[in-house]
Amino acid sequence: MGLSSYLLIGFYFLKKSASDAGKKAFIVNRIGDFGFMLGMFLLFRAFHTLDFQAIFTSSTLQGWPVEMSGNLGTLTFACLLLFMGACGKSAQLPLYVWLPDAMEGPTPVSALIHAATMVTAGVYVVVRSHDLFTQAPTAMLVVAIVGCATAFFAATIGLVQTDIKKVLAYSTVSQLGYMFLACGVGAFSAGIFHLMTHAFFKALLFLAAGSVIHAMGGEQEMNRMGGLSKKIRWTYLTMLTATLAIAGFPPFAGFFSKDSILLSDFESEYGGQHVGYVLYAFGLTTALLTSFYMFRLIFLTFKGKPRYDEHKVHVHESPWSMLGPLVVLAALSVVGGWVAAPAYWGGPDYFTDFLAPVFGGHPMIEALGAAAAHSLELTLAFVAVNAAVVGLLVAWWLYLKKPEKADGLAKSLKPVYTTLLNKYYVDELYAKVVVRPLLWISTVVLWKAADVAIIDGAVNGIANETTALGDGVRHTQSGNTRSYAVWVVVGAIVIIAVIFFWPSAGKPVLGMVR
Amino acid sequence: MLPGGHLLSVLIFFPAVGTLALLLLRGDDHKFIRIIALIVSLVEFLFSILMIWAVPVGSTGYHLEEYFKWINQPPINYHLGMDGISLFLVILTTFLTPISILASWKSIEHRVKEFFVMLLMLEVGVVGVFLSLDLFLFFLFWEVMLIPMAFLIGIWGHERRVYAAVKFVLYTMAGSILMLVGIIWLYNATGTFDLPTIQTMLHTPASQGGLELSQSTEMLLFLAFFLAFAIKVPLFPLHTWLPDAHVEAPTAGSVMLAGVLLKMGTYGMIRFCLPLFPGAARRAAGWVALLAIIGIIYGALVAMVQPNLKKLVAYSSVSHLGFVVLGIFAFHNISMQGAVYQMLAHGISTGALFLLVGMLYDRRHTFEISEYGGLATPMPKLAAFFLFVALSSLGLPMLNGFVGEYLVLLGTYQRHWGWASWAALGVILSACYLLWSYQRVFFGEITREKNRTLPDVSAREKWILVTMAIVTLWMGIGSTFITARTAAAAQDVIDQVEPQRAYEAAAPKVITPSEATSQAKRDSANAAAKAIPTERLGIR
Amino acid sequence: MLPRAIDAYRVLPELVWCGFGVLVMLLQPFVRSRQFFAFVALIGTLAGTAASVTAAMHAGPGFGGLVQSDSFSFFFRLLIGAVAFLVMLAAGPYLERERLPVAEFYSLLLFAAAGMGVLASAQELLTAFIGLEMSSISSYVLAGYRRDALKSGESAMKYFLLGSFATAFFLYGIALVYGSSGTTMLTKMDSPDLFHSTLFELGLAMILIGLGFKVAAAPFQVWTPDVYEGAPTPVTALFSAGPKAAAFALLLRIFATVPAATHFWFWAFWVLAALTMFAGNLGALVQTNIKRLLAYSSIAHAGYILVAFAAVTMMARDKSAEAGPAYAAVLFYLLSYALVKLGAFTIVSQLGGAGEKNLSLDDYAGLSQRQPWVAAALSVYLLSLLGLPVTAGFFGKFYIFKAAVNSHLMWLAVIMGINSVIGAYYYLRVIVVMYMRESSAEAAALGPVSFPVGVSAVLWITVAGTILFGLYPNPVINFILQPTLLGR
Repeated sequence: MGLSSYLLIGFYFLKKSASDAGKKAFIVNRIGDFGFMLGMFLLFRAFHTLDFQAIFTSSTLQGWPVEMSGNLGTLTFACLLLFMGACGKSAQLPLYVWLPDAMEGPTPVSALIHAATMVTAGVYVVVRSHDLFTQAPTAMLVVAIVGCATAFFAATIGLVQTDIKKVLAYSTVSQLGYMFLACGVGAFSAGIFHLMTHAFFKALLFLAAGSVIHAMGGEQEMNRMGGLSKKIRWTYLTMLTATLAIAGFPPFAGFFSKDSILLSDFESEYGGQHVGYVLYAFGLTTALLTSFYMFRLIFLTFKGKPRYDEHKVHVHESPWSMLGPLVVLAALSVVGGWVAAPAYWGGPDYFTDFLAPVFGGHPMIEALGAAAAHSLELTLAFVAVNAAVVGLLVAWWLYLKKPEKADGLAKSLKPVYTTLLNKYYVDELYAKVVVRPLLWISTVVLWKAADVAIIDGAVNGIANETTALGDGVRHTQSGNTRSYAVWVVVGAIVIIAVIFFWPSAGKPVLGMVR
Repeated sequence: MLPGGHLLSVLIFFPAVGTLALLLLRGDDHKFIRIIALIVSLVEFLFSILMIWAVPVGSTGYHLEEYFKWINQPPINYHLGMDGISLFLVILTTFLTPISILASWKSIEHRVKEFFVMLLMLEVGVVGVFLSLDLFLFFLFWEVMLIPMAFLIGIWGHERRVYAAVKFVLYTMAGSILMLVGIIWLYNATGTFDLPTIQTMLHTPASQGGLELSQSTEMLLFLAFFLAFAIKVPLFPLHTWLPDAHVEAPTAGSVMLAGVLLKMGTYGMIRFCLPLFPGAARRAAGWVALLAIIGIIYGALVAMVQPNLKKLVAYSSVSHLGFVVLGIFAFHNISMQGAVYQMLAHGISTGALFLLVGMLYDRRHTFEISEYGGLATPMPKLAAFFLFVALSSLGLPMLNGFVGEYLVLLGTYQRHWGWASWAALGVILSACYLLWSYQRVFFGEITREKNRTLPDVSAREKWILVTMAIVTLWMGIGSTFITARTAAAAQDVIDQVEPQRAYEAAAPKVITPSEATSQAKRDSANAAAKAIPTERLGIR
Repeated sequence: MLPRAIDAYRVLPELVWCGFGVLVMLLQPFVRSRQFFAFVALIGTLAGTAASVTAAMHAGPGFGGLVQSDSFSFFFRLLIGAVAFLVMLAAGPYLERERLPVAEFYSLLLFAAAGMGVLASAQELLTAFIGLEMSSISSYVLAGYRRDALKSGESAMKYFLLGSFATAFFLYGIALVYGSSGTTMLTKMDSPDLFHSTLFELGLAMILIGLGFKVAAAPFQVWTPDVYEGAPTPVTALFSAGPKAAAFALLLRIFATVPAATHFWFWAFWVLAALTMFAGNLGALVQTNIKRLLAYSSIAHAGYILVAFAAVTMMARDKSAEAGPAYAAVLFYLLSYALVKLGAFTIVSQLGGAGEKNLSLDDYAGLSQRQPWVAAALSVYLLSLLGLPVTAGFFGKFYIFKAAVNSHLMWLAVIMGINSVIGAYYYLRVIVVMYMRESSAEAAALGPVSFPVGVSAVLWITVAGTILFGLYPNPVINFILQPTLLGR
């Protein structure tokens, strides 16, 4: 997968940014793999096998004590290391940086690999090895926190991006965060569920975005779009569907999955403390932000006045070969969620039942199930929807009603705005703190100094010294016979001295001197 | 005479015969000379393939032994033999020789005859080193190999070739002289140069006529041998001859140097340092591992910032060989197998890298990365091959490089998780320097007009590269074919070093049916059991 | 008592050599043909060498123990005979080229050979002294044989002055030894009180110095480069192979026979060896004249041999049974070394051209292109000097290492190791020049130098010997390892 994404991202290899992005994706993933490998090694050390089934069924694991807060045992470490790998693959903090850049690749690639399928591999890994994670609540908490943080963090960045694909990219990161959040609180089925629904609407969003870009003749800047809704109706409608879905409006798919995640957050505990509230709060805020930036996207792109030169760019709807998939996905983004209709919705939760054999019988899930009182669930759902609506309204107000207000806001909150616009300067930070120092050290210290100057210098130094010595020896050859005679005499004296005045002369010689 | 005929002698001396044949040829008919050399090396390769049948899976001890008295005072015997480890190293040698002959088909224009003579003589020396079981004989081949290599660098090399050649020889001699002293010391103590005999003597208590070394003596002897090998490997900080040698050597020289000569060092460690001086090896392991890890990271970092493509590959070898040494001195069955595997994998992938760099050089006569850029446009095929090889070298799963590194790290981790964790950083760095350099050479717009018209791979080059690629892939997928044959030998070595814990390291605690066998007695422990680790490691 | 026939047998080689030497001198006024003299001289050398077999068959002390005909002297007589023979072969074309008279040259060569033979078989110090003088005086003359060449005269002068200076030491040493032990017979110097006789030790020290000069052991080596450079190259070949071997032979006999001589003497040899190795190798590093370079290298090799001597005395001191191999090391080394040096100097003398002009390393640039076989031969010699496998030099060095390690002279072994690495550098330099540099324009224009049959024969023989003994030293080793080597 690393390879394929490397190649697909770097597809336009003539563009430096593209090949950079590809490289970045591979290397960042490598950093994740580093942790993942160590995790595997640790597991092998503990279980003497790497076969998932073997591990999960192994008596060792069955008899393993749950590593509660405080005791950071093997499993906790193993899980954290595995999670590191997951972070790399699924673009979580702090390894998310590659995914936005990955948008350099062709849009369909982004849709398939970097939105729907590949990036969710990390989530899968965590879910797959839930037997381990559930044994290590600390690790779970970390997963939840990282997921939550990522979701929020990415969403905030998404607020201000102006490149249509970048917005979607950050929203992907944020949604992935949701999934980890779900896993972190033990709602594995919810996580997988969101994974599925997300696959529908995010793929849709990307393809639609692609269609827009196609229509605009390669333009990705939303600032140079607007008012496209009439010109490219189908694209608009489908994209709207997807937006509603991701924003979590009922009865669209996103609503159900997000809803169940938030619910499990609310319920979750860690070592007695009810950390769930915090997670829930952030999750909710994120939901609001999500709906905001998504509608911002919609409005900027499709509503308002055209901000592009209508004579140059003649907008045209994409051919059906492109629209077909959109429609299909749109349908899915609507009905996709119904398979897991929560209790109060009446419909049975097929999805959870479907996954029950895998996840069933874990204390946390049990607890959740028990606690899943209709009333609570209903309230939470209500709150979530409201959040979405608020987001929608704010976006509407800022970008349709009073566009100038948006700029005003940006000005008044300049530092915040620019920080967000520059993605918190994370890339710059990495460059400053990691990349450049590393290169500098390697060049100046290791190569130029240690290798060339010191080590090789020493080697050549010895050689030169020897030669110099040789030169000295040569100069004893004055060519003058008398001096030679003197040499002989000196030598004679030396020899005789050695024989007569050598400390150990006559006496047995010390072993060491030999 | 032991059964098995004289296959090993044939392997050693057939190239020698070939050199004689070449010497008798007229010097000016280059094509003919090339063809003869190629045929000789190919036949040699076929011979070496025959050895595989001589090593039953999981068999321990030496095979195809040949033994007769050579010099009676001091008693020096012509004693050859091979086990799973030497088997594949020899095959690697005989495989890379025809490859490098093909690689120099066009690039070597003057003094063609001498060139191929030297190449075949080199093969004689290297194969001899891998097959001799007599310390003296080993040393003899070890030294014999020096001169042809020095000539290859010194005559057909680039600008600073003479400096590089002399540096190479002096570095190696400095080490080997000490080894000679060590060998003679062992002879005085044991009265023989025969490796197996000495080995058994060193492992039997003095009361039963064995030889017990005092700690200090053992350590000194260990160092005498180790230094010679460490220089060859090369282990940090004894590596500075390598970049010079590589950069100056002609393509074929680099391929042989990286492909096999470096392995002589690690092979020596496995064959001599560990079995002969287990105590010292155990005591030194920590320090050796430290140097190996430094080498891994240091080599990778320095490689990353090299402006010269060939130097970059050279330093990457320092990094990769670090893994091998680490794997050896972790004293774990898996890591040992990994070390052996890494030797072979590195031989193939780094060899291929040098071939590709050589092909670029043939076209542009420079190694400077800055001179290239955007080459993927004029030469897509070459770019594709290069990427493939680079990925194998940075250890992409399904390719050979991964298996070795993975096994080494996994095995090491089981004994010293700290070592493995540090070494694993190399996995990240290797991706950095390889992909970065690849990007600078092949991606982006063409920066130099000269490069716009460069021809893509010729038919000859394509066949070379395809062969390498196939082997790379096969080693990535069919690794068990090799590990099944090296496992037992590797285990043997570990048993020599750590008799008490060797076998529990080999046999996992958790018993699944397939593993039950590996709980059997150590003497009957066979590769079916030994190979299990690699099978359970998700490498298929 | 009166000499008997058997005594004559036991010195037959020397007699033959002297006889032929005289014969050549007598014929000189009457015959003009160079070939004739060359022929006679070669016959004489061979005859003498063959006679050493007769001598060996009648092994035993001759002239009441003045000389000892045993395997030891047999070995050296063969060696000396071979050296003289090869030198003559190589010298023929040289004398022709340099327009030098032949008769004196050959007879002097024969006398020198005879002297060395005596030196190698002497078991009595005054006899040894006579042998020494015989070889030395003819050497002095030979060194100055190129009368017209200034360097040659200088070389002869230095050699003569310093040589006689050293001989004085030697003689004085004999006097002291006689004074302290009451005998000059090595076999009779076995009274235990000699172990504590300062006078005796002083005498031995003097003898050691005298011989040390002959073998060019530091710090008595200073004369070597100048003399070697100045002397006609074939003569240089002789110097580096012949007298050195003979002097070592006597030294070995003394220190192997006289109990008191083996007493803590290894210190002297330890120091001498270390000094000599460094003096030779370091000096050679910076040489640009091939003749000087080889001169320094021969100093270095004297150092290696002295390492073996240190081992010999060491083990004799410890009454170790391993002493045999140590002697063997010396003998084998001398053999391998003689082969190589003869070959190398022959090539040098041939490539030197008229008046020995082309002696600088640069003249060897690209030799492998102009004369591949010569270059190959020279490389074989150099690699043998360097001590790489498949050459006699490898085993020579190996045996010495072995002797050193056997007698626990670890540090000396290590010093020797360091030195062989230093040595490797300058030997490689020559190879590098020959193979890795292009020939200069004029050299290329000049074309290949012709190698007459005699010279090529020398090269073939020496190369063959070097490689043969490098692959299969058994015959030699077996011979020199026999317990009765020194007739006892």
